[in-house]
Amino acid sequence: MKTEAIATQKDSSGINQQITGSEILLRSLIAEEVQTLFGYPGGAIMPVYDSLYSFSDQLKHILVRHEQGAIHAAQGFARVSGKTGVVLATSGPGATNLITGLADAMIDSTPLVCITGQVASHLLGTDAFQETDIINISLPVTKWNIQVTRAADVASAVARAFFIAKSGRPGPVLIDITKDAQFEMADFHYEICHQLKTYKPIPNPDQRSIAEAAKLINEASRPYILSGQGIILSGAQTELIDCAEKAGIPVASTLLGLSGFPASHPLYVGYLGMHGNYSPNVNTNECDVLIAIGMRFDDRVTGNVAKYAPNAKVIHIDIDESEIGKIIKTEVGIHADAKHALTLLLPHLKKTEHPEWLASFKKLDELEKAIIQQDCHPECEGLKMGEVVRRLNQITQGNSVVCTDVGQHQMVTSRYYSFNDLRSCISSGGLGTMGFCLPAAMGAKCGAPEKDVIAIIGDGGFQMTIQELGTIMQYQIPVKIIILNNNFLGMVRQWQQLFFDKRYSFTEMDNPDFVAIAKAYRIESQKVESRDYLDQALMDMMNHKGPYLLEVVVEKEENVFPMVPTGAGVAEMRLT
Amino acid sequence: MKKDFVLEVHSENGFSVLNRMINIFNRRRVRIKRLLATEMPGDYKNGMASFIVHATEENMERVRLQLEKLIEVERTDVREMNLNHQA
Ligand SMILES: Cc1ncc(C[n+]2csc(CCOP(=O)(O)OP(=O)(O)O)c2C)c(N)n1
Repeated sequence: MKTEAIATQKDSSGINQQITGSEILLRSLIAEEVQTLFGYPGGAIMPVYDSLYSFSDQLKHILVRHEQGAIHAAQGFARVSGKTGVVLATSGPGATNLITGLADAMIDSTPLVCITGQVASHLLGTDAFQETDIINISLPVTKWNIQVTRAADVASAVARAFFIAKSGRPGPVLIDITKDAQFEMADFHYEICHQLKTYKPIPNPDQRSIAEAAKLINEASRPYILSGQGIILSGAQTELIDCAEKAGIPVASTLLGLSGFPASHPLYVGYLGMHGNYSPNVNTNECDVLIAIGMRFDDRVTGNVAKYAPNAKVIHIDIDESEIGKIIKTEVGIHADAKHALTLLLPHLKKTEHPEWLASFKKLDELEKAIIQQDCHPECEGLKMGEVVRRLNQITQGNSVVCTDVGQHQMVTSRYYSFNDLRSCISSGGLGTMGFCLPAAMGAKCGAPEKDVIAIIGDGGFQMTIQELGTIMQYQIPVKIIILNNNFLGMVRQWQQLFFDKRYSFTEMDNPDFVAIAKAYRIESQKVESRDYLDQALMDMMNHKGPYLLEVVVEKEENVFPMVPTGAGVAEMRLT
Repeated sequence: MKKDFVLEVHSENGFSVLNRMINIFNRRRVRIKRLLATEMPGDYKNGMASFIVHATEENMERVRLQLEKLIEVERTDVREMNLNHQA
C-alpha cells in the first residue's frame, strides 16, 4: 500500500494520544475531505453517532428517513460532484436496506463508501440481535468490502475504501465495523492510499491499438461515436469534442452518458436505447466504424445483438478490461481511461468531415418530427409529459441538474431535456431503480448547492421513497419536485398495451392528494392540470426559494415512442 | 463446446476473497469440478486457489477477466486440461 501521511492524533506534548475506533473513523473521513454524510442510527453504530455529536462542526450529517434514501442521496451527491458519497447505517435491517442502492451504484459505477455497524466481534455468527452477514450479502454488489474488528484497523480500511471506490471504474465499497472496534482505543495515524499491490486501476493503453484505432477511423466513411458515462467519470468531454470535431464524427450518448457531450453541439445526434432517438439507433446499423467510449453495450442500447451494427468494425475504449468484447465482438479493444485514450488518439486522427453521413441523421430525424410534435405540441386536452419537460427545458435553458426516476417520465425527460452542463443528468440506468429520484435529487442538491436541482418523478416511483420529504423538510433542501402523475405505472401499462393485449394487470393507481402530503411536510406545493397554467406553475416552482412540489396531471394513457421492442434490432425501432 | 480448464488464481488471502471468486462462477453457471485453496507456505497473507471448471472457451475468458478484476487478485493462469497433464 503506497500512502501519504496526512493526519495523526497527538496531545499538546506531541505524544500519540489514543482515541476510540469511532473517532478514528470520523477523523479518517475528515482526512479524506468528507464534509457530508447521509445516514440513520441504530444500536450497532451508536458509538459512531456519539462521536459524531462532537464533530458536527466538521461533518454535516443528514438524517434521512430510510437507509435506501441515504444511499440514493449519496449516489446523487457523488454523481453531481464527482466526489465519493458516504453513508452510515446500523447493522441488520439498516445494512440490508442499503442493498438496492449498492446494486444501483455497482452497475452504474458510482463511488460510495458505506459504513455499517456490526454486532460485537465475540457475537459474530451467533445470530445476535440485529446481526446479519452483510459482508456476504453485499459481496456481489460491492466493488470491495471489509469487516473491521479492531480499532487499530479502522484508518487503513477507510483509506483503502476511498482509494478503491474512486479509482479505475468507480463503485461502492462497504466497511462493516464491529461495535467493540468502535469503542476500543487505538493510536490514530492516517495515510491516504494511492496504490495497492494487487489492484491496478490505471491501465496503460498500448500504442499499437491506438494506432490501429486511428487507422480504422481515418479510413472510415461512416464513423460513429457512442459516448457513455466513462466520458463523464474520466472528465474527457474536451478530448471527446476535439476528436469528434477533428475527424468529423457524429456522437450519440447512452442514458448515463447524457451531459458528457453537449446536447447543443452540431455533431450531437441524440440519445441511444430502447426509447432513445430514432436516428442514432437506426444509424448504428449503417456505420462502418463504431467507436464505443466508456460504455458497456447494455441490452437496452443494443437491442438484439445478433442484429447490431452488422456493418461496423468496433473500437471499444473502456477502463474495465472485462467489458471489452463482453457483449459485442471488438476489432480493436483499448483498455484505458477514456481521457487518456482520446488524448493519445487525437494526434493520429486525420482532419476530415463526413457531411453526407451527418446529413443521413438529419434525414432520419425528420421521421421523428411527427412524434415530437405530438409530444410537445399536443392537440389532446390533457397535458403530455413531453410538453412539460420541453417547457421546463426552455425556462431553465437546459442548465439545471435534472434527476429522474424510472419509467415513461424518465425516457421523456432524457428525450426532451437538453443536458448541456456536465454531470447534470442523474438517473438510475443499469438497475432501473424506482424510488431513486427523490433521495438522489436531495443528495445532488447537497453536492451542488449552487445549481438548481429538479426531480422529475412518476406517481409510482414517488411513493417508493416518499418518506424523504421529511428529510427535505428538516434540512430545507431546496429541490424542485415535479410529479408527472398519470395515475398509472405508466411504463408497465405501455408494455401491457403493446405486448399483452391491453390487459392492464395491476398497474392503475389510486393516488393520495400529493399537494396535501407536501403541505403536511410544510413544503410549498401546487397542482396543475391545464396547459394554460403550466408555464406559470413551472415559474412559480423555479422562483420559489425553498423546496417545492409541483404535481402535473398528465394524460393517463400516453405512450413513449419511438421504441425498440424486446428482441428487435435497433434498426427495427418503431415510430408508432 | 464446453471443456475442462485448470484455472489458478493467485491472490491476497482475506475472509471474503474465495467467496468472491466462487460467486463469479456461480453467476455465470460455470460448474466447479474441483477446488483446492491454500495459503502460501509460511505466508498467511497470500494464497492460491486452483479450480477445475467446465465451461466454453468464451465463458472461461469472461470469467477469467472478472476474476482479475477482483481487488485482491494478483493474477490468473488458465490452461485447458488434457489427459496427459493432470493438474
Ligand atoms: C423498484 C422497482 N420496481 C418495479 C420496477 C418496474 N417498473 C419499471 S417502470 C415502472 C412504472 C413506473 O411508474 P411511474 O413511477 O408512475 O412512472 P411512469 O412510467 O408512469 O412515468 C415499473 C413498475 C422498477 N423499475 N423498479
